[in-house]
Amino acid sequence: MSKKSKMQLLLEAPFRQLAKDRRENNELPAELRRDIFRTLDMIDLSEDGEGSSFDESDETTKDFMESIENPDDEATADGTYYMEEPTDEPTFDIKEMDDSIDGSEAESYDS
Amino acid sequence: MPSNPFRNSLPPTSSLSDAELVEEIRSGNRELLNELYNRYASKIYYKSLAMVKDASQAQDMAHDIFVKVATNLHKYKGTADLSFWIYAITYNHCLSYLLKAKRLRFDPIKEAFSHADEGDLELTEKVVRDLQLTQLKKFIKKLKPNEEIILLMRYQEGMSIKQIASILQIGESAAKMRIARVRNRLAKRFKELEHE
Repeated sequence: MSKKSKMQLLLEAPFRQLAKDRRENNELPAELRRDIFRTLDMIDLSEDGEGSSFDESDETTKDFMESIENPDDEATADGTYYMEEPTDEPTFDIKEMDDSIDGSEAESYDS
Repeated sequence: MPSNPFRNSLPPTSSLSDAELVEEIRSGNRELLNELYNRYASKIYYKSLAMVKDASQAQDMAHDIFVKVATNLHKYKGTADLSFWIYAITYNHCLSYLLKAKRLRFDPIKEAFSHADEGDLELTEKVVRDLQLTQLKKFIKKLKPNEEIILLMRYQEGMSIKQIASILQIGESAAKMRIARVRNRLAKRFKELEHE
């Protein structure tokens, strides 16, 4: 397992602090939940129970969504990607994301 | 003997894994969309806010993105983490918005990454080591949206080059190059800030 590059570690801390700062200074809109579930209920009612896709008419979006997951893309399936709430303490033990794709190159570019 | 009303019940929703949660929702347990909301809505909102910079617009984005996620769960194959799948949709949605609003432009870029693009890594590291939050905020204000977004993907979300390339729909070399260039600008700008 290769470690994260020094550059990655150095930059993650302030960038995650930035995310924390954004959350602390901006409240999640209270009406977001209500609006979302109202829309979902409307979609349910209009679909007569048949599965459908919001924005299905948007071919670009549709193609993109179907291409996100590539069964051969181990980099997205190794459990190392995180979208958790940033913490004060950077987690340095997370496996380097580049590890499964081109770790050696990443090291040379990034460290 | 009375039947145990909890025998066939699910464990607390918060203890379900993402994969179990998706499976339950796909099976028709739409109540669990609330749990999906609890886990991801705020993340979608704050990511959107980071990109569009406007609370009202971010709210609209988060609404549309969550609805898109909820109504397309049948397309989630489980080969990537759910968080990445949702995150990719979030970025794609916001990028589309920014492109349409002409606030974002990705210039054509040569695919081959050369060592000249690396800049002085040692110097950049030295500069970045002392980077303070206030300085980072100042720097980010000076960035173009596409530059900021690629830095957020890489350093706030810890995405791999391959993941970034797939979301931006560019080559991996181009993604590497863009990251290196913005990072070098960060170091340069930081040095300028020191003298302001």
